[in-house]
Amino acid sequence: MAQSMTDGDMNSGLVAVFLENRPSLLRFLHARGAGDAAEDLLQDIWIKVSAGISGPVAEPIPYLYRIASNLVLDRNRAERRRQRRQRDWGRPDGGSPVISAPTCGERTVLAREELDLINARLLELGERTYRIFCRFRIDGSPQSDIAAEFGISLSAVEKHLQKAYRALLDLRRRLNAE
Amino acid sequence: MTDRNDKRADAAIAWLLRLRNGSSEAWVEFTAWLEADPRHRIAYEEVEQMDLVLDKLTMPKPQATQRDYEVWSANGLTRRALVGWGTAAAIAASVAAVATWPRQRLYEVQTAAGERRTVKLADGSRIELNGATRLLLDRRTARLAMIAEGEAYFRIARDAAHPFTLDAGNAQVRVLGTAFNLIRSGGEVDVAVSEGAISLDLPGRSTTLKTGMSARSADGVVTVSKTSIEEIGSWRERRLVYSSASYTRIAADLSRNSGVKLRAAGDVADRRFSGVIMVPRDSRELVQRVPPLLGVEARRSGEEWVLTSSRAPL
Repeated sequence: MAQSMTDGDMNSGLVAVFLENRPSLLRFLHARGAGDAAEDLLQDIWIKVSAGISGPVAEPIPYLYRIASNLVLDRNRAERRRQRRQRDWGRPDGGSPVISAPTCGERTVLAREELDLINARLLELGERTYRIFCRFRIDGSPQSDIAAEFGISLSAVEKHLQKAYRALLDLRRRLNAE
Repeated sequence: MTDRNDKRADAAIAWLLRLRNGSSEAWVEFTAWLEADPRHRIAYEEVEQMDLVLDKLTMPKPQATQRDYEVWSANGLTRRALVGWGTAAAIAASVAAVATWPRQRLYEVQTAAGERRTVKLADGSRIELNGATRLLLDRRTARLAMIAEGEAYFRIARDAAHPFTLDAGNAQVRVLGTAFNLIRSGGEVDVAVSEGAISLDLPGRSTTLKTGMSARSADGVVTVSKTSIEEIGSWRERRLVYSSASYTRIAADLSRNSGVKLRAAGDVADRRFSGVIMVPRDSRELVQRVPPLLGVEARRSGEEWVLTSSRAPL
């Protein structure tokens, strides 16, 4: 029986999926460390979903999990910023001097420097790894497309990406080493 | 760093990759993995933070090239960018971006092509930067540096208790008190020791280089050889000394030393040259005098000079 779907139908479909998966999403939020904020974040997802902002969603469940994951990420970032502000500007009585935060100009320079370091590091991994990384992370190509394009297996693509990400993680650790 | 810590990091990366276009099963399994051990969550958060910075990567502005590349920037807008793999700086920075990797201790020293600069560190060490070079130094210690790109000659003060570490990506250098030259460019690293000894860590190979020895890491291959000490860091006297060096490399060196953008065209890139090239101070002289030494011609192409086979006489 053919049915044509209106925007309202699609929206209510997503809402239905959300309600069905509410317990799993809550469990996921807790697993991501949302703690007491988990219920609030779940509410935020509900608001986004019922507002019907998104168009048709091919994979509703992964879509909802992705929203949940991003909400936790945003919350953690805000929390870290708050802590950093306290550390940068708070002066403990008679305590040791705080290293001054970089200025806007310095941070721009640091940002450019950082991206140069990332670029240099990726280049060292070899042309194929570099290109596969760019296809995946910058172009947003799915791994299956990349495998087809390069004529290699999916697991070979995974290995290249794993290698690239690992190299960048190590770079980040070296930059942040205390 | 323990092995288990490494395994968790690798697992976290695998999850990040898998979840990018993940199925509902993937997310459910991911939840179970997070629940299995609190350290899994911490490992994942670290990887996620690292990944955030990568959002700022975009493809560069169009340049004269070889390949057509359709590109989606981080904002999802299509841009037709023309990119050649041979050009080293293929990922450009968005200048308005702000670093999310907190690094308040590090500061940058950099030179434009053709420029030189000497940095003196608190412990008496001296670093001479060649052109087109970027170095990161640490406010809190003179015993740590990172070279992102370019060439520098290091004269490191002796301190047996505190080795000096130079991070050059693939290559990690550790010295007690030594003089050496290092180039990091286009995924390749060249190190040569003129005084003392260095410990050099490269993927798959750790080696000690003593006075008069050099190592080159290119395309996953490491070659160690003897070098004449007078030749090490000779760029400081505007002398480039080569033993079977590729023209691609020589073009990069000449660009760095002069501020003239030079590139070796496909037909000459793999030729080899042995000998000494004096780098003239005057860029016109450079473009006139050096190509004939290499048996090539320099032809202007936009902002670059391209080294290519000499035209056959009519």
